[in-house]
Amino acid sequence: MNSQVFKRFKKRKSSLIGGIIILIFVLTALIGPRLCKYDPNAIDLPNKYQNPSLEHWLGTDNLGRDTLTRLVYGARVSLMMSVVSVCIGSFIGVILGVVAGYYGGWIDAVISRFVDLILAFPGLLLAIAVVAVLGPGIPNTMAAIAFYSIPYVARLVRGLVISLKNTEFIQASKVIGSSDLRIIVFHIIPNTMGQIIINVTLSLGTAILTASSLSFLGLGVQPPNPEWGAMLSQAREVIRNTPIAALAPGIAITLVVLSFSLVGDGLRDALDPKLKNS
Amino acid sequence: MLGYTIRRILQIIPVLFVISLVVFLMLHMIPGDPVKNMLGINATEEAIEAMRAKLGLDQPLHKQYISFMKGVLKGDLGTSIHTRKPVVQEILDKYPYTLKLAVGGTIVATVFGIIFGIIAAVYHNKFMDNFIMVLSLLSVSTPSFFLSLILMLIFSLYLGWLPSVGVKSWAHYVLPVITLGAQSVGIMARTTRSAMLEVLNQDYIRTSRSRGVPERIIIYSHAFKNALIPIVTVIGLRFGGLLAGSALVETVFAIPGIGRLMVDGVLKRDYPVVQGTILVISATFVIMNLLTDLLYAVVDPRVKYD
Repeated sequence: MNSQVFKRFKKRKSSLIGGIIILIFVLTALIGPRLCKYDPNAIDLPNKYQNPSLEHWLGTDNLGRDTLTRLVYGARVSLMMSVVSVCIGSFIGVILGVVAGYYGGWIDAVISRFVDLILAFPGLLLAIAVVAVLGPGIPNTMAAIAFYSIPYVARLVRGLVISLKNTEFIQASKVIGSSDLRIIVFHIIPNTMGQIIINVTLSLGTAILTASSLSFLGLGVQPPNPEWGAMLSQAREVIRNTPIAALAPGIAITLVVLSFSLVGDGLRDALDPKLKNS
Repeated sequence: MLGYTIRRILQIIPVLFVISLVVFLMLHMIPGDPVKNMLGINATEEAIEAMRAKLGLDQPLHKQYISFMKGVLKGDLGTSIHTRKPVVQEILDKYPYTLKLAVGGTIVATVFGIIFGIIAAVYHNKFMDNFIMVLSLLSVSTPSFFLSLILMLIFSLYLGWLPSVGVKSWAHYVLPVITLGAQSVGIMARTTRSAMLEVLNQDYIRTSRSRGVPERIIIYSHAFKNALIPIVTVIGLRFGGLLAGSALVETVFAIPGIGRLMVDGVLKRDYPVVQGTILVISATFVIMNLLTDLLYAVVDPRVKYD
């Protein structure tokens, strides 16, 4: 991010706040576990369903586990899952989009129909279908989210490449004998990077929502692993007596998703001011 | 209009065909032996063979697909391994609950989303606009299962105004419908706002204003009608999203809908149920998209001449 882009990004206060919140969560995920004095999976049944106290700042869950500790470890699981899966999905999506847009013809037709097919399955259903095939668990949840993000990136990049490939600088590059690979790697991809970064940022929020939804349904991260959606699912049984156990992971999910949206909007304005207010 | 309708209907046939193929292949993409997965590790070899024959998995792939499609066209989606009931019966029993939720959620999203979107566009860059946009962003970012729990905590457990779980009366649907619609309200409000802003900046609106046409007529008769296409698109797309997302709301409010049926099918490895529910939800989504396309021609007569 060059200084001009950062200056434009800073102008949008809400995006800056979103960025700071994400930074706090990332730091929590990275160094938080070292600061926690409890084991996230240590069962302590005599202390189950405790309300917030000095010992347990956010109380304890149905097995007496410290909610704050699980929330901190959950940040690591949720952020890692969303970043890895969106990066994998975006990488595959970029390759498919570039190949379809640049070469056109039957390759484009095949890839575009594949993208249309995936988009024919509504939202969460696709992720559930992938988990139905692969089974629950962290790697399979990440595979489901990655698969879910491929068509959106592929469609976006294809459109960008089609509009780029007829521009003068690409034509000039072809005339001086540059290979297709060189044109794609050094000219086309760098010129689509801004849009890809915006898309990745916005997708990270969606990925956290999808991952937590799958875990809430029992199809994602499996117990005893701490994950925000799974924590919320367990806490709903005791929501009347210990509402904090459900509120804490719920607020964490909402804050992170909201922050990624704000940062994505800010990046869009900063990287491509033409799109502002769209 | 008839030609346009027929053309659009013909276009969804290959889509439905490919969806059926993907749903059919799901069972074959499962790593390892799906029958062993279904029956568990203690299943005897005879039971595995019997189940394989029952599901037709001992036949060549193309024959399996033909028999699967014959069944689908005759309304036979197989038998649930868990309940031993026909999958179609299970779906018919549970689909009305999900449809009620999705239709209710769509109505909530459309009515409130359009009202908020118009207000935001009319008060562009003023407090009201910013307030509605913050609310819409918050509604899009809040997971529906979290919102369900908050609403249940406040309106059922603390205030006691509405029932928390079940489907006995219309009151049981209030919280689930609001929850399901809330996320789409944000999306609908944002779409309506940007579509309205685009139209409100056009020359003919400026001309109407200079001629002294009342602002109310400009907004509702001139601008809103021309902003309808993107709004109709979002309504159609959201309906499909609500059908799939209903699994979360059904889980919290204990509603025996098709979403919950699908999730239970995945958890119990009841693959005929999973195949059947995914097929029905996807087909409904495709048909909703078709209806949205047909609605384009109604809201914008230019579409049918394309």
